[in-house]
Amino acid sequence: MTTREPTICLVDDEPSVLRALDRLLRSAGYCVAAFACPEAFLSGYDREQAGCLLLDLTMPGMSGMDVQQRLNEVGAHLPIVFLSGYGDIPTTVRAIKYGAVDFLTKPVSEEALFAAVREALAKNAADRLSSAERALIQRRLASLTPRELEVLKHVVTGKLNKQIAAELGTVEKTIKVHRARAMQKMQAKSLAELVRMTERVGLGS
Amino acid sequence: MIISSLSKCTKESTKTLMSLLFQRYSLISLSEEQSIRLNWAQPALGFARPLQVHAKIKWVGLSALLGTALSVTAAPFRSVPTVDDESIRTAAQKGGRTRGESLTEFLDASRFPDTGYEASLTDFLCGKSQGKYTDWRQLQRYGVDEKALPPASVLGYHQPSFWEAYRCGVIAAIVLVVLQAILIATLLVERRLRRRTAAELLDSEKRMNSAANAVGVGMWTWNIGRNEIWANSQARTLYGIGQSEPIDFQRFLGSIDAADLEPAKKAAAAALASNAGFETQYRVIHPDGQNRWVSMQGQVEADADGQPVSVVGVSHDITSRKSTELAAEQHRNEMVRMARVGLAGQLSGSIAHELNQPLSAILANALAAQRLLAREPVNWREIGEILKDIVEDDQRAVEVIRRLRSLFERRESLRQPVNPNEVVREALKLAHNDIVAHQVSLLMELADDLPAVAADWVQLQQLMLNLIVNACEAMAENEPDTRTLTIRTWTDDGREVMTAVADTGKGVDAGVVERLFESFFTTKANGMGMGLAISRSIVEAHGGQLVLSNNSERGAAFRFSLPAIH
Repeated sequence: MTTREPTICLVDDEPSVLRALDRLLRSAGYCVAAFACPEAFLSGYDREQAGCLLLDLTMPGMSGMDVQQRLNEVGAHLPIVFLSGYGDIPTTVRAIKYGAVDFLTKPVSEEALFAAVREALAKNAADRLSSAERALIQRRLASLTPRELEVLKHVVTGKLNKQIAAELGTVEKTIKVHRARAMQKMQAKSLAELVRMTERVGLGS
Repeated sequence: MIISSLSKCTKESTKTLMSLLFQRYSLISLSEEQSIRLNWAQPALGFARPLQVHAKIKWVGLSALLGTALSVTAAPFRSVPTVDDESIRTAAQKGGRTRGESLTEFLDASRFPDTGYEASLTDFLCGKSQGKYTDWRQLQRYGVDEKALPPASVLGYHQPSFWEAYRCGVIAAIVLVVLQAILIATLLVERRLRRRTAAELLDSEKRMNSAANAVGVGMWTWNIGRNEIWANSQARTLYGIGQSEPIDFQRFLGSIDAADLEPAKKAAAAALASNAGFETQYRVIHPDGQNRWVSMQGQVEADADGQPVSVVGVSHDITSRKSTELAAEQHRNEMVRMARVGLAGQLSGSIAHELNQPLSAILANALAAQRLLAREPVNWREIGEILKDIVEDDQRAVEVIRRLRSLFERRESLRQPVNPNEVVREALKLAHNDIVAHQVSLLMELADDLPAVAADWVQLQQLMLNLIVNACEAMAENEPDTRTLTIRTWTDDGREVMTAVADTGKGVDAGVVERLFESFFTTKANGMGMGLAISRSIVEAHGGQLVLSNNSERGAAFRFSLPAIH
């Protein structure tokens, strides 16, 4: 069920710890989805749902690191906060390198937990926003005709209309028309903005 | 005179013979002690049996001899027929002598036909013989040899010589004396032999006594039939019994410490039942309260029917040896405990983590409760649940501490009936986090119908932990999903419980296997090398065996056996 509320996904194999963290987060007003094992989480979590993941490191079978790897493989944008009883440096470093937001050791203090959760949710929101933006830009690009698109690609390289016309083998006037329509469709108010947009989606290089 | 001397001789020889025989056979009335001692030395000397055989032969011979002597002496003396005046005259009258003829002339007449030498005088005198009559006295006077007489002569007035008169008797007497002399000689020889034997026995006994005294060995013999125990002075000192106090079986039992009485009695009963040798150890209490450890070895001796007749043995003082043994056992226990502490140290990471879980949960719960209390209205039900969870988590933490503490405590080795499966499960709880941290998957095949074993719970747990930790370390270099720890328990015949701990690591080199069990030998970079040596000594102290071998597929396995209680 997709809700507006960001949901914290909780994965820990120790039932008492799972219950306790669930309670604590809910008592602070967050929405929580608790999973007792990694497999249940991977098959049961909602990809569209905003939120973050609070993940226990040492679990029998699939460990926390394995879950992180899986999520990276499918390109999920769920920021991870690791919770663990062990905290050796190599593991910590590896976790962060693979994209974890933070690494907390149990027993975890209130401040540390909520700070990490806030950071993760913020990151998630930012990620979602940027991906939403990108999606919008993509949609706009998709609405361009092939000619407009071609012109756009040349425009963002900073060429003059004249030059573009010469390259594409048409008249400057035609180029101006295409350019105007593209700018309009892309809803860019200036060339700089257009460039930024195309950069966002990795167009033209 | 000759007769009297001969008879005196016979009497003397008979007397000597009887006294010797009496001496010989008064052995029967030897004191029991002497006979027991002879008995005790019997195997060493081997004289008693042959002497008995000779005795029988002598009895038979002697009785035969006496019988013959008596019959011979009872027979009437035989003699050459003699003639005296009276009978001649009577015979002459009968024979029809004419008046005036002298007897000699009458007798000399050759009127009688020769009827042979053997004719008796009566025959002759009645006219049947033809022999000449001669006066023996005249023969003697004139020195004429008897042999010169014609055959069929009759000697008148013949005084038979002593020899002729008492020939048979003399022969009999001489034979008797000779035989008695022979017998006397034999008995004298035998007496000398016996005396020498007795002297040797005494010698040997003195030697043995002095040897026993030098070593402090007590010797004793228990005559079952008469319930008497002979003990040498060393034995008496050892058992705290007076030097001249009579000892019977009860007195002996009374000197044993009550705690060891039953096993000692059982050992003695078992030996008596099977006529075997036995050995047992127990404490004795002296009348002055002193306590000593004694080792007793004995051998039961039976008669021809297999009934126990006596028990012979030695006892010696092993107090110093025993106290050394006890001290050594204490040291061993200390070493085992130290190894256990080391193992607990190795597991400390896991144990800390295991404590961490309940503590984290408690903290999170309490924080949640605080926040809930700040809200309006307060959700009392949820707070109730929170508190319940806190209590449970705390109890779990207490359990972990308790399990850990049992690894550290110093205690006497305590044997109790133990279910091996329970030990496995508890050990796995202690090692749980270690197993998870090493990313090992666990396979358990525990038999349902295992008999109990008599074991020290903590030591068995230490053993299992050691093997589990060992297995996890062996697989540390494996690929994460190829690490499988298998624990199996089973019993083949109900007399032994077998346990196997197998890993899927790289196995062991056959040449190194035995060395791994040595103290202070390790293939690990930071190992101390005591774990496996201690594990093996724990298994062996419980009466089992620990072996290590490679699996047919990957890895190696430890297997150990423990004797079941029945």
